[in-house]
Amino acid sequence: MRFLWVSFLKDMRRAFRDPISLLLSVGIPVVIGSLLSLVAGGSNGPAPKAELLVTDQDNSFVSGVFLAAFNQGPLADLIEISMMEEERALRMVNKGDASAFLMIPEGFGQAVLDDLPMELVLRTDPSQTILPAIVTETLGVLVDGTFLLQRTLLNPMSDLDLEGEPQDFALIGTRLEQVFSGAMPYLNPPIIELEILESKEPQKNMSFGTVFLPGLLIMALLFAAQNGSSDVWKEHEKGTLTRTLTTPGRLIQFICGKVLANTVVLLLIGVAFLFFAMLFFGLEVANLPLAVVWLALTGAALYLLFLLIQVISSNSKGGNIITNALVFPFAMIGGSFFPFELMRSGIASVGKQTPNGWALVKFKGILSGSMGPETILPAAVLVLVVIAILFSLCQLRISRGFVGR
Amino acid sequence: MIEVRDLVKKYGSVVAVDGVSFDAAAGSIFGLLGPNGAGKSTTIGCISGLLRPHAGTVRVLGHDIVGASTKAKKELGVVPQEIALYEDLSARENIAYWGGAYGLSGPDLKRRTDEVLALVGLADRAKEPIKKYSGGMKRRLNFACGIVHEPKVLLLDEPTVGVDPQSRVNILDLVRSQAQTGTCVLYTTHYMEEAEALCDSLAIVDGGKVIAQGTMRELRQRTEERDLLRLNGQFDVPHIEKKLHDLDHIEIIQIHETQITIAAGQGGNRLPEILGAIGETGADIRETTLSQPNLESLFIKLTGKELRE
Repeated sequence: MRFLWVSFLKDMRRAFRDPISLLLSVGIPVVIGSLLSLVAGGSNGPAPKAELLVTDQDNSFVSGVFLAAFNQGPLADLIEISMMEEERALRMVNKGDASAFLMIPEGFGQAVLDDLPMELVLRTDPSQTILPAIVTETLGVLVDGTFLLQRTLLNPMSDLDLEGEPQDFALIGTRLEQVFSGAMPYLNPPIIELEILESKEPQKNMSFGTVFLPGLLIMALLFAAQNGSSDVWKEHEKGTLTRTLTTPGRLIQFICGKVLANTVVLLLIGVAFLFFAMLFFGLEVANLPLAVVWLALTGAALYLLFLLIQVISSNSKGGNIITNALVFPFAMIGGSFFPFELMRSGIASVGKQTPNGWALVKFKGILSGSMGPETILPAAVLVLVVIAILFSLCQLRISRGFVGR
Repeated sequence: MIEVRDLVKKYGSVVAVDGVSFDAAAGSIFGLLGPNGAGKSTTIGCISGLLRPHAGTVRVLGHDIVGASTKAKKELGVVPQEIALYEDLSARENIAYWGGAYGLSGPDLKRRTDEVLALVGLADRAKEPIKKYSGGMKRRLNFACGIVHEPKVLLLDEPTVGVDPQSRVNILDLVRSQAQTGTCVLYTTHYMEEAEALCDSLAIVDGGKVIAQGTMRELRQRTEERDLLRLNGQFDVPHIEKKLHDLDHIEIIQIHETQITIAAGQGGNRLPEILGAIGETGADIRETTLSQPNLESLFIKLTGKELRE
């Protein structure tokens, strides 16, 4: 067993003498995660707001009411209105400094009152997709609302002369009373009653931390395991593996030392990633020790899988091409680039059958607390069996065929 | 210390080692001399337990390398032809790894690490990653890693390949010092000068077979103290053969239309006679080389070809 420790120490030292490879293994998923975070708006920053530039050439009471609707309720959190001249507003939208520009033409208010056709001009920033779409949808709803308001409230009063004699004001009052009396049964009490029910099941947390980060962590393990596995070719080509076989040190201990060292490295990457996610992205971990154990098992199995591919390949180039060709599809379909939650169910169900996808599902279960030690035990035993089989195959291949090349 | 009997190793239909037998004693340097591809490294591979022989036995201090490989390997130190070291580790860490592989640990490992680092002259740069070392320094460290556990038998597989002259002298001195401490050294090389300067006894191998074996004195005697005369030019082979047969104590080792090799006693004194006889055939002699009897001439005598061919 002494040689196992010697072999383990040697590989640990070598791993830390090559920090660039380690940093790349962690760095690539972190970069991908940061990009995804930026696209998704992050978890802690302010929600993005659409900036709508408006030129109100009508400047009437109706146009004022129309624009005020943008500042009502939740819309106020989504859209921010800035009034400015048409030329400047267009320049800003074209430069991408604002999401959209709305021009309300002169006569808009009167056209609404007179039920005449009128055109509103909306220009959107083509470089943005989501925020201009919010403005467009909102404007559509407001135009429809205006149309309904005109039909229900203003049509009955359209024949009134708002600038007429004082006796006409009595008529206006009477007509208003009739309109509101007619509408009152629908308004008070409202015919629709809302019953607010609180869900008894805990609300599913769909934050960036819970959806993306576990997949990114498994991606980091994939990259690091693939990188670590290629070292067996370096040992072979430098002659150190062959030389080791001339010593009394046993091959099984040599490989064991390698597997242990790589597992520890993968575990360190995993734990560092986990704490980073907990600190900065609010990742909640229901059972940290179990999550760490699962990461260790996953790391060892992934490393041995890639090691086996390396030693059955005819040369180092072939081994690296095959393992690289596996890493990216595994990461893509296995829930690392795109979380299963955002995939189509058919693709997600295939992705969950990949080694990393399967491990990721269990890992997310551990993080969320839906999988405890008892429920994860069968899966852990299965992983241990896979590790034992992969280890035996690697040992067999290295002793028969790989070294003699 | 090393007993090799009727060793056979095949790669498919190719017989790399064909019935090789020899003994090497404690405190001596036994050489395996032969051209590239002669089967020297395969023989070393079988002795070190890396390759499984198809037939024959190898015993190291009485331990069979196949049946009792762990006991045999503990007594062996191996310095491979390539620099089999970890470039990202320091010299001290490399020695510690290989020492650990041979079962050294704790104070013994530290003591031996310090000793071998001093022995190979790398103590002052022991903490540097060896990727910063020169080729000669790496060769010396490669040697140090093979002797860190004080092996009773040391296998050296062409340890001076690609080494500058100064480092070669250093390595040869290190080999001699190991033999002086009682270690049995098995040294393979295709450098005839190295074998002559270093080995107490040796086996000349070619095509996987031992073609000559003995102490340096015995092997020199087999050359019959005859000089070797090599001529390059254009020759009428049948005519020259007839002319040279008429001369006493001359042996034609090799003859082609462009090259002739002749073994002759007192070759220097007989040069005018030989050149005269050849010249009478109308030969166009462009180059003449006369060399003293040595292992090279023995190899040429035995195989009809040069060692470096």
